[in-house]
Formats: sequence, structure tokens, C-alpha cells
Amino acid sequence: MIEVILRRLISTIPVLIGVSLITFGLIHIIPGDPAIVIAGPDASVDQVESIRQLLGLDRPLHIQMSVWYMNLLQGDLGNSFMLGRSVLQAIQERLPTTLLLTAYSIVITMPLGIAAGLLAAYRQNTWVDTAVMSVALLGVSVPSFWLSIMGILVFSVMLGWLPSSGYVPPSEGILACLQSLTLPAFSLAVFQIGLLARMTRATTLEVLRQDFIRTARAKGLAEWKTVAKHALSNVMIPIITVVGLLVNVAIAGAVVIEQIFVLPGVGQLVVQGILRRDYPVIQGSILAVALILVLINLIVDLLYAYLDPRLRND
Amino acid sequence: MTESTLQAVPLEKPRNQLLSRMLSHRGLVIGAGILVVMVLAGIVGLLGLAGDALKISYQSRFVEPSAEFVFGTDHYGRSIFSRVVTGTHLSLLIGISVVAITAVFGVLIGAIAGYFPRLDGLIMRCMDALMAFPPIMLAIAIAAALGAGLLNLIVALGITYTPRTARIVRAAVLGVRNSEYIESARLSGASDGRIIVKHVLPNSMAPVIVDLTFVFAYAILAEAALSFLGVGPPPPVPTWGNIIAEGRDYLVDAPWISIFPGLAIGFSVLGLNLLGDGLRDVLDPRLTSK
Amino acid sequence: MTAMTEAATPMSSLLKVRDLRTELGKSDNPLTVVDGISFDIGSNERLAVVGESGSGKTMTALSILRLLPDAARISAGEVNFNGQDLLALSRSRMRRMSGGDIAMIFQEPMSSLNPVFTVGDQIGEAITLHQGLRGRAARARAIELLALVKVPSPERRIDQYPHELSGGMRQRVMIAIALSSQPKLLIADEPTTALDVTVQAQILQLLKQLQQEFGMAILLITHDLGVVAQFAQRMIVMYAGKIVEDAPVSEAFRRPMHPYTEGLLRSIPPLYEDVDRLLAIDGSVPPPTAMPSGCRFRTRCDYARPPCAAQIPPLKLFGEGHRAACIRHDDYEVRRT
Repeated sequence: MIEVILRRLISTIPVLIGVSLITFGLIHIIPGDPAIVIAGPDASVDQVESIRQLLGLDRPLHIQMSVWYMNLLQGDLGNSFMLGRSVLQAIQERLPTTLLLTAYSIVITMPLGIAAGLLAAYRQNTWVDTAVMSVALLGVSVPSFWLSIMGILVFSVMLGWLPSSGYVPPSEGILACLQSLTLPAFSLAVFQIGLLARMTRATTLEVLRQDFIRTARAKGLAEWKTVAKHALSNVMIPIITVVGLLVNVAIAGAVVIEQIFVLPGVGQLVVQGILRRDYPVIQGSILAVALILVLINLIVDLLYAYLDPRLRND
Repeated sequence: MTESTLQAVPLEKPRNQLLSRMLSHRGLVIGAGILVVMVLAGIVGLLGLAGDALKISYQSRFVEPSAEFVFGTDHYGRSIFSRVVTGTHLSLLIGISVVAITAVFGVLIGAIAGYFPRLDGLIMRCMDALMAFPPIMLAIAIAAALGAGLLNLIVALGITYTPRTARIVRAAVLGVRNSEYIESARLSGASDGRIIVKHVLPNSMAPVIVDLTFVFAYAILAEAALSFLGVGPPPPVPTWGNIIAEGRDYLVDAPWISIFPGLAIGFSVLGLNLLGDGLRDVLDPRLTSK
Repeated sequence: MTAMTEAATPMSSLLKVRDLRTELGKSDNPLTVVDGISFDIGSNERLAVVGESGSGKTMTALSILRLLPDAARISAGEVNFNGQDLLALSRSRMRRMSGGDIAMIFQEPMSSLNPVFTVGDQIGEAITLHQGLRGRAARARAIELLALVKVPSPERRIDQYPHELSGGMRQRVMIAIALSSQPKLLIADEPTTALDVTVQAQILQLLKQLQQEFGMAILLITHDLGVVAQFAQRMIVMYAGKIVEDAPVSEAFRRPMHPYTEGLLRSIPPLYEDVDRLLAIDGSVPPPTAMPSGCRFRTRCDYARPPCAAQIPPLKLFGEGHRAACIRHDDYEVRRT
């Protein structure tokens, strides 16, 4: 088990290096002179020059890179042009909203997606299977941002049940906070439920074909217990690893959803950064998100190794 | 499980048998049908046969869906039907271009990684790093750096989806690399390049074709999201994402502006998903749970 | 005249299978994989069912316990166990029967145990189910059973997971699970095929010893006549879904009445060499979609002559408990009677 943990920890190092290099490189794929592009069309020569110096673009590439890594190791992601303060601070303020939204959508997704997948697999090739899988297919086909607009139209404008935008931080009341996130979270969850249901169904069919399911039936175990104990235990272990993918999908969706519902999250920060060509903000935000995803995947993999006795004891 | 089903399915099926299996797969046929409808709509849009998507008419602003304007009109009096149909060829163009970029680079990178073990580690760690970012976020950042526009959007999405395909190609190549017929080709003196092109790739194509169908679907979804955020081609261009974004401000009074392009996206992506599922069932039965 | 239903009945039959027919695939165009077979097992008998892949032997075993895969179903016949028709039992009654009076072990000890539960848990489950023991008592009984199937240091093994055990040990665990309810009949489907030869002999020895100790019947499914010779008292030879010969093992080995049995005997591999092919008989079992008319073996039979294509030869008695389905012996039989 310790060996598994160590191996997994070591394997994240190259990914971290790659992620930070890609983020660093982002500013250098800007065609032409990055300083001119970042300063914008109306900028004076002096403004361009000050941006060049601020971002260190006047220095040789290897110096820029070592400065980037030195700062990074100290947790310094630079300063935002538009916000006039450190990027790290801005991210720290906005991360909880995004993580809360993501967590909420995943809490909705897990039971529904798994239940739908199990049901479809167990009733394979019946109308139940066809119906559940058709809905799941619709779920992964409809864009979440469009769905959220339709959600606003129905649940805010027409029915008046939920707010159409705005965020209530948890400090001002958990219920009000959840209410402000409900429509965004469900908009995100629809795609994820479809995804999870499809994966759960495939995994369950695989497990139901295994010999040990036949052994359980041969023992005289009741059908529901065969499924609930022997099938589900083997379905859940691989499904745990899907959580990493779900968080990835949810954060990607949150970029757009936060914009629509005016939620002060990292996604909104990225989009604002892009619209104002605030590159430190863009770099810092996507780096932070990638690091969080690497961390979540690490936790999920370790959890998997812990839950699967074949890996735990080796 | 049963003795009679244990008989191995022959790997190389006769072509007409494959076709008949495709035609008897309901989802695949429906998906292909939707794709055909999309392509026809794209051609109609490209030739401008569905009306002028940019024609402004202040007399006919916010017209509800009616006989004259089947999908209604927007705040400039432009026909939503014309805009959605014209947007189809943009979505198709972007989707196909992204698939082409992904196919070329994904196959190239995946084949090299799978065939040359020495390069495998480095290449795949780079792919892992790219995949550590949420796809839309990475695409936004790249597209933003390159500047708004159709081509940059395509490049950004291509970079974003290449690692997935590369990973699938690599796995497929690893699967066939050590098989006997590759060994015999090597012994008969064929060069690495020739072996890859003549033997390895044809035998690892099935999962790649399936994957590229899904890339097509993701590209359409991602393009819509990026346009919606303002990172795609700028507004008068009637991409589906742009139309939805413009309609947002008039959601209460003219919901049809946003509804119809969204349905078009859903319909197209549904078709591609059906096609992808069907192709997986037919081409790559190992991946299917039957 | 149908000798088909007239099984060679041992003194007291525990299980009577009559005209069992099992089909696979769509019901409008089914493939018959078990085609109207009848046989009996005595209450203390070791019976082997022999045949190649595709002969229907595994489907026969699964039919008895109603454990067929979804695509298959029993379309006709009767499976009478201890006076009860198993095919007429309700699902819950059948569940009490399987794993209770009838237990089964499978070919793949690697995959037949659930990888995420301990050995003790999986034996305990069967004990709880059929004997109502729980907790400490169930655990004690599980350790007892592991000792019974000669698993060394059972107190330690009981808390291990299947992947920590060798193939032979896993098969012993499967046997322990099967024995937990003290079954009257144990069905063993190729229990030793996946194991190497020395372990194979140990497992067969164990099964034989347990069979005598508990006075149960064992139905052993195998393609290996070497295993039959080591283990069984009587053998049934199946070909393409039908029984072609049914005889005491010594009798069948000395005087096979069906050319297929003869071929099988000629193909017994040399000792301690596992060959999965029957070298002495050309070709393979025809698929259910392309059955020849008349005798199904005639396409591979050295003795085949035109009348063989006319009709499916019925099983006929050729002496004490010896049935075979071959018209080659008709003249002989006429002379004898």
C-alpha cells in the first residue's frame, strides 16, 4: 500500500511540471509582441513598455522561466492588472464558490447517475433500459449553459421558485446559499448524470457477467442481495475514479455557468481576465484549477487503491 | 460463458457484413440520419438558401415563430431560422476541422508513443499535463491568447482534444505492436514507418474512429460555449453560441431567440453521440457490454 | 420404443432428468443446445458427463440448477430431485434448493470468488443462508469447513482475499462453500481444468473423499477422460446436445459402444500432459445452426454409412446399465434378442 501511494505521488510530479510549463507558455503563444497585445489597441508606447517590464517580457526566456518558477514555489502568482492586487488573493476569494458549486452538482449527480446506470444494466434490453439510457443520452447532448438559460426561464421567470442570478455566501445562511446555487448546480448535473449513468451501466454489465455473480446465485442468495452486495461492491470501486472526471467536467461547465448566474467563482475570474487581457489572472486561475484537479485525482486514486483489496494488500 | 458463445468472433469481417450490421443498428442509423440532415442544412446555409442571416429589418423585430419566420426574429429583426441554418455550416466546419486536427496529431503522437517505447514516457506525460486542465478552460485560455476568431478557436479546440485521441491510439498501437504479424513484417525487413502505416494503424483504427465521433460532438458543444462567452468569432457571425448569447437579454419577451439554436446544438450532438455509440457497438465489440 | 426415456436406472435415483431441452437465443429461431436428454444419478454416485466444447454438458449442469445465462432457457423436460420437479419450483423455493441440497462449483476458481470480500465472508454468507448461523458461530463453522477441505492454517486464511490464494486453494474455498449446507448433490463443472496437474489430482482426491464421507452424489462435468478414469463410477458421453453413451466407467473404457466414445478414448493424452484437443477425431462439434441430419456424429465418424443420415439413432440398452446411440450395433442386438 505504501508503495502504491509513493508510486502515485511520484507520478504526479511530471504532470505538475507539465501543467506549470503549459501555463507559463500561454503568454508566449500570443502572436506578435505579447506586450502590445496585452496592452490593447489604445495603449501608448509607455504603457506597452510598462507592461513589458511588469511581466518581465523584456528579459531572456530562461530568466523569465526561472523567475516564474521561483515565484510559483513561493505561492506568488503575480498581480492582476484589473483588480490591482495579487492573483493568489483573488483566487482564494473565488475558489470556495466554484468548489461549492462543483460539490453541490456532484452530490446531486452521484446517487442519480449511479441509480440510473444500475437500473438500466439490471433491466438490460428492456423498455426500462431504453428509456433510462435515452434520457442519459439527451443529458450528455444538451449544452449546460443553454439548459441553465432555459432553467432561468422556467424556474425563475415563469414559476418564480429560484433566483435567476446572484450568490449568497454560506456565511449569510446555508439555505439561502444553497438556494442561490440550486439552479446552477442542476444545470451542471444534467450532463454529469448522463455521463455517470452511461458509465455505471457499462461497468455493471461487465460485473454482472462475472463468474462470482453466478457463484452467489448458485449459493441460493436472493437476487436483490446478489446485486446489492456482490455486484454493487465491484461496481462502486471503479466508479469512484469517475469522481475525478466529474469534477473536471463540472469545473469546465462552471466557467460558463458562473458567467450566466453571476456567481463570483474562478470561472468568472477567468472569463473576466480574458475579456480584459489580464494574463496573470488567466494563468493563475487555470493553474490553480489544474492543481486542484491533480490533487483530486490523486486522492481518488489512493482511495481506489485503499478500497480494492487486490491493490491494498500488494 | 456458454460454450456456443465462446466461439471467437473473427477479427476481419467481410465488408458487406459490416455494412449490414451497421444498417441493422437502430441508433447508428438514426445518428447517421441526423448527421445527413446537419450536412444538408449546412450546405443550405453555406449557399445562403435559407435567407440572409444578417439582414436587419426594424419593421419585423421580435416576431414570434410564425409562417413567415418559422423560428421567429430577434432584436434586429433577423430571421432566427436563417441564422440557425447558417450557423450549422459554421458548427460543422469547426467540428470537422477540430476532428481533422485531432486525428492527424492524435494519431501521429499516439503512434509514436506506442511504437517507440523510449519516447513513450515523455510524450504521454505531456499529454497527461494537457489533460489535467478542464477542456473548456484550456480552450478558452489558448483561444484568448491567440486572439478571437474562427481559426484560433479551431486550433484551441484541436490542442485541447488531441491528448485524448493520442492516448487511445497509443493503447491500440500497444495492443497490436507485439502481435505475430507485426513481428513477421519486422523480420521481413519492413521499416518502422512502413509497419506503422501498413500494419499497426489499420488494426488500431476502430477505437480511434469511435473516439473522433465523440470529439466531433464535444467540439460542437465547446464551440457553442466559447462563442457564448465571447471567445469565438465576434457577434454578427451567427454561430449557435452567439445567437444564444444575444437572445439571453430578451429571454422574457423573445425566448425563441435562444431556444432554437440550443435545440440545434442538442439535436446535432445527440446525433453524433448516437453515431459514436453505434460505431462502437459495430466496430469495436470488445468495448460494448452486451 | 423410445429408449430415450428409459434411463439406465441405478438402485435409488437422487436426480432424474427426463427429456431435458435447453435453447439459446431468440425464441422464434432458437438454437437447441441440450436436446432432449434423460439420465439419473444415484444418491451416492460419482457420475461424469464427458464431451467436447459445444456438446452441451455445461448447459445441462446449469439447467439443473436453473442458473442459465439470460439468453438461454429450458423449453421442455423434467428435472426431478428427490421427488420434486425442480423446474416447477418457485424462484424462492429453488433458491433454498440451490446452495442447499444441491451445490455447484465452477471451472474458474480465479473468477468464481468475489475479489472484494474475504474468504470467510463468502463462506459465511452460505452458512448464514442455509444454516442460519451468524457472527462467531458462522466464523467457527467456516474455519471448520476450510480445515475439512484441507486448507492449511484456516484461521489465517479465512481473513484473506481470493487474490492472496493460489488457484488450488481457491477451488478448495469453493468446495468449502458448496459443502457448507451438506448437499445431497454436488455439481462440479470442470473443477480442475484451470489447475495444474498435481493440484488437479489433489482436488479430485479431496472430492472423492468428501463424497464418501458425506454420502453425497457428485455430477462431474469434464472433457478429460483421464479425470473420469480417476474419479467417476459411471460416465455419460454427450455429443452436440445429445447423450450418445451412458455406461459404468470400467465398462465404457473396456467396451465403448459408440464410435465417439471410442474416439475419445483413443485421444486420451499421455499421463501428466494436459492436451485440450481431441487429436484422434477430425473436425469439431457442428454448431447448432448446421446440424447434420440423422446421427450428428456421422460427419466425423469412421463407421458412417448411408442409413446413419436417415434418422437420429435412439439410445438402446446394450447390457447392464449400458446405453448407446448407434445403429452400427442393430444387427448385433437383433441376434442377441
